[in-house]
Amino acid sequence: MQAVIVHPLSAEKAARARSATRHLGVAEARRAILPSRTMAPLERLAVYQEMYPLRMHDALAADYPGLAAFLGDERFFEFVRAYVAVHPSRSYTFAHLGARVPEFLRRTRRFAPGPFLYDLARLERAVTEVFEVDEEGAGHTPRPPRHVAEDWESRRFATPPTLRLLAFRHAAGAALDALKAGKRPATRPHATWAALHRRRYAVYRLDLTRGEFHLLRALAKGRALGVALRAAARAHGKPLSPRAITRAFRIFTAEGLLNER
Amino acid sequence: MGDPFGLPDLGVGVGLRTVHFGHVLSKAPEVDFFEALTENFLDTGGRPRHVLDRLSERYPIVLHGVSMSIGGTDPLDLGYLRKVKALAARVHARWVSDHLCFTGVSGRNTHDLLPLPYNEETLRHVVSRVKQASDVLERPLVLENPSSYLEFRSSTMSESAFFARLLEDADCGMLLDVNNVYVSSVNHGFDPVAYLDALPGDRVVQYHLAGHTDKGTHLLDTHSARMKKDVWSLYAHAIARTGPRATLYEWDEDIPDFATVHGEAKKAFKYRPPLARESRTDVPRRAARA
Repeated sequence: MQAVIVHPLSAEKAARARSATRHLGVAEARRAILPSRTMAPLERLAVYQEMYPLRMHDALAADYPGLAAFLGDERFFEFVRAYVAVHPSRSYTFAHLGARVPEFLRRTRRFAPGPFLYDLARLERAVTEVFEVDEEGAGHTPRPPRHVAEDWESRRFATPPTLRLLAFRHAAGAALDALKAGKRPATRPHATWAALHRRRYAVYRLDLTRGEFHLLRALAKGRALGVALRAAARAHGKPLSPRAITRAFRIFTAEGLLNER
Repeated sequence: MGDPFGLPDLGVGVGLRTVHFGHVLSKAPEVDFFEALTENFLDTGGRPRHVLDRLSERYPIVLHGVSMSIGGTDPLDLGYLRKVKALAARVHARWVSDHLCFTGVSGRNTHDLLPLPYNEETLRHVVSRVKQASDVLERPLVLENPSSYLEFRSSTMSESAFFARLLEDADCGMLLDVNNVYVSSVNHGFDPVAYLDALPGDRVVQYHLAGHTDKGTHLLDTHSARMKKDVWSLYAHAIARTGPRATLYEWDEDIPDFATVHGEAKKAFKYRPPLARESRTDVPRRAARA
């Protein structure tokens, strides 16, 4: 019965499809299921079969609204059917259903432009994950960092458990903003970087420069400030200017991304 | 008529929905209780859990799940049941309910409430699993009658007869969804009043009320719009048999503002008395989170 319900074809075709008939063929369906006054057995089974992709669609659209908007209704439905055929839900909750969407888009060539969609989906998945992070047991309440000049190279900082740092080959953040505004996004390659974090249960995205990204990433890994600045310089191709460093720290502390360790 | 578990009449409640989170937290409406969809509050440390934690300090909460698959052939997911138990303890849930159905096989979840054949073999199977689940949860399980769109030739008894036997043999409670009784009665051609009369009234712990959609060839349990007059009549008949029981209004499609949903729920007071004022403070006092 399940094999027919989840089959992408109609209930009648599904009941004849090889993948389903191992479990329930047309004749067996008619033998197993009673007709009603108004519906034949396979028509009754089709009620469940028609609801299945709709539920999957709603769950994935909730987690990937940008992807849904970009693909449009018909193409997104195609995507949903293709995705759940390969990655059906195996969890008691819908929360995990979309976990493999970015990887699926990266591997399949059915939905274009693939690399752009992969980045967009990564961003949307990260937003969902940050939204769900469990901060209980994270420890002490974060405090802004002290201003201490003499030991600055060895300073280390704490970052919030909800912090996620992402590097993209496309302007994924701008694309998501455009899609939410009902506009068509740019899909050409354009390297961008972002930090996601959560404050009072709302998820925020901070767009970063390459240098800021590498600086924050090193600090989040627990590196001392001097080491982190050198890591950022290597990635940036040159040392960050004092102005850039000042700007980065002002932004990081204002967003609560760097705290006293 | 009291239930054998001594569970309280919680009055008339509303399903807790994301779109109403802000309103419920800021306005603290006079609602008797909330029903939370269990799976939406497992595996999350974000806003949903925060909201449920806050609400549980003020309102009685019941948990209602859709993934237990009590009729399934895969082993019960003990990890899931332990998480449900932990959540129930966290929010002081008055009871935990799910549906008489299966949701998938071979580890898959269709996220639908799939029907079971009603015969002795299924009964033995489900009774065993209900007892196992109750042992893990350390409380009696409450099961809801799902709406269904097909019946099996291998059924040897009616759904109501099956449910009556199940409730006694497994020592569990019933969440009687009168809209589901109506929908299934039309889809399968049985008498909904006879269905209600076949149930042991003392096992009914809670009612569900909801709207449905007429698709021409069948009715679909969409939890949309207002409940139809015929279903209100069924509720009136049922609650006259059981006495006042917790009653919850479900509205899941095109959800209107909270006041509209709550207004629809409060129509239940035509058929049952409101809770006495002193009964409303059933919420145990707890220190607020620092």
